[in-house]
Amino acid sequence: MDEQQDFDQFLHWLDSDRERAGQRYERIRRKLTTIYAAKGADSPEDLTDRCIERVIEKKPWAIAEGATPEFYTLSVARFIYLEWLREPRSVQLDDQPIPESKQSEVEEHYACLERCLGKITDRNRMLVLEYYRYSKMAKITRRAALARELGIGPNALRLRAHRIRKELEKCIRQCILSNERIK
Amino acid sequence: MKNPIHTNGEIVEYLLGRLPPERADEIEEQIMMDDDFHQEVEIAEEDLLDRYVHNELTAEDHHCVETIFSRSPVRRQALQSAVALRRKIDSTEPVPLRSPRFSPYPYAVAASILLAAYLGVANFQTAKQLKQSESYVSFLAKELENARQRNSSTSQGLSSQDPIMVAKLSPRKRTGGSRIQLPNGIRAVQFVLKVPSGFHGEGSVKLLADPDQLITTVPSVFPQDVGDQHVVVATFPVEVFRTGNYRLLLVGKELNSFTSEYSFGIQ
Repeated sequence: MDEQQDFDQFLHWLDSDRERAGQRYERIRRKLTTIYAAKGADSPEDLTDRCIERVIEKKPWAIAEGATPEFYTLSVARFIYLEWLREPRSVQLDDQPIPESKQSEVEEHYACLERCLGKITDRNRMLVLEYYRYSKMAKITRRAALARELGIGPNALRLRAHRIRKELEKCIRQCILSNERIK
Repeated sequence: MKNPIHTNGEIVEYLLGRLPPERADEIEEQIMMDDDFHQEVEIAEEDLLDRYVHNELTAEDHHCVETIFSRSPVRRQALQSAVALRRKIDSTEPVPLRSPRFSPYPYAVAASILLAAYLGVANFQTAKQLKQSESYVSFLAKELENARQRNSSTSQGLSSQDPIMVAKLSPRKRTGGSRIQLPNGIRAVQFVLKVPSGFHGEGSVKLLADPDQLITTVPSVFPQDVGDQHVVVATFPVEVFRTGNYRLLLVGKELNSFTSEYSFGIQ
């Protein structure tokens, strides 16, 4: 059986509906990346790839274990992390200086953000800029005013701002990737 | 999971890698099993980055964020995006928001105008929808009559001599449905749904857009034999379709009777 067939079976294990399976797969990937990042992995995305590959290799759908895909994947994720800890790598000392962001990188991010802000609606652009504008006490009062202005509750505003920010971050990542391809 | 309640402070400690391993394990489990909790963790991470760019963190936390977020390329990008967003915000003027203290009179007048406008539009829309529904019902009746005539005149069943597309569907398989491309100029799609030979009597066919949004129902269909196949025919005007996934649900009229599902996608 080839890799594509294995992957198709994996998706079918997540959901018999292909579209819903794809969405669940993306959620699992994001969760794994969050977990590996919090564990201090230097490349959470690589460990996420490795974990998914291992799960597909193990074919858990063929074994009637009754574990949900998320639970099974988490147990594999922990195992992969232990393997990664045992791998030889250059040691980073705590007092080692943190690499400064290059000015070109900063400018590139800013240019990409500008481009991505141009792709969202005026209303969403206003929302994201106003939501993240203030700090401390001003943040609380201004966000309450923003929620009133938009006619939604504070929690709905919080989730909406989060979704727009995620959308922007994804757009920025794609923008930077396409810049790298051109280089 | 021993204790699934996590405070925001605990989530921040988790993100900074400062939680005891057994507590971190519990948070990981909740992240994997609960989508809403994962969203809370992502929001907590954004808040942490915002407090970092606003210089609101203690020196220790500030250093911790720099160390952790410079370690992986994607997290470094998230940090740089937060810095870029801060710079963009600083370069734009704040939008003046309504003051919470306001006189209700102008708003009441504006609300009355809006309400009147809304009622006018709603009335117009309702009349328009009613007209559309009437023409749709007469269209379906005409198509049904055409389908019956065609079925009785040919042994092979339905053909596409006129601008109606015929799509033959079998009950839903777990792997997904057929993909249908609608040619230009057709007026309707006629679905020939294979049914088991044991299905008799009256039924209805519901057209649903994924996920489970009912578009319309053909209220009365009867199984018929076309060639060697037992089928039900249902016709829908082409206007009801957009690009996307759909399901047809064939439901027998009698209680606990036959139900069959057909899935397809419009390209």
